[in-house]
Amino acid sequence: MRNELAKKTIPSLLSLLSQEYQFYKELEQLLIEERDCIVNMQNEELTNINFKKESLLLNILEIKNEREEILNQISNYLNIKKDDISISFLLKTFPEYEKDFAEFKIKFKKIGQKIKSLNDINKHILNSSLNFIKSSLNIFYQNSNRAVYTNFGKVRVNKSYMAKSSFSSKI
Amino acid sequence: MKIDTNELGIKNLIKTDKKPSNSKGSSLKKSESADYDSVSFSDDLKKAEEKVVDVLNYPEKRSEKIEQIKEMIKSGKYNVDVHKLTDKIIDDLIYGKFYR
Repeated sequence: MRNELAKKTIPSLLSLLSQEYQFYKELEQLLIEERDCIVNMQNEELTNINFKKESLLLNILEIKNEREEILNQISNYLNIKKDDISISFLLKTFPEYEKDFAEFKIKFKKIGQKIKSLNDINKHILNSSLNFIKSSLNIFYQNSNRAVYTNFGKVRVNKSYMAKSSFSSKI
Repeated sequence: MKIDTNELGIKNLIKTDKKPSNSKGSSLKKSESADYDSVSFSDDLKKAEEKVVDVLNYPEKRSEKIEQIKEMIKSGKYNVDVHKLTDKIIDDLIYGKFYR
């Protein structure tokens, strides 16, 4: 049984980890593109990137599901809880694949940090952009309601505008 | 793992046929048909129960569901909170036990 695990199950798991890593690389690339789009205000391209991200994230979830099934097999064989299985554990349990698991451990750690950093930056600049748009709209709204010119060149002051002060608007 | 629907009490929700407890001192004579309290729900609820049991008993249906969602995303009929999902996946990658 152990031989079967070592010959079939573990290589399948390594293949899944490789695919998962590739998806994270794609996510990293998409986050870089997203950052550029936010900075350059390319809204259409940003929508496309969101679609690509949705699809990519679902692929990642699917891979994770497949991985869970393999981990179930391993946990049944080794008679341990599935949640106790980690890359470090597999690295020790299957020394013939020690190098592969060690590589993945480092790769996932690095890509995780990169993706998190990119995602945090994107969230920050997206929020800043939204706040800028909101404040611009507020200023525009205030100015557009200041006065109305009638047909005869007389100025009619908008009373609803007078009731508001610039301090009462949300920026 | 098979889920026992009786344990969940789902079956009991659908139809309840029980004899009323004999109350002492009741002098009313009941007809035979009145000996049972009967509650039955619509066919829609029965169908919903079947779906719930199906999903609980057959995890492979999850992959069908994923395919359906993928199709919906392609056609633009499904909205996912991409930012929340990204956060969760990144958190799992960094703090998840498996990657340690």
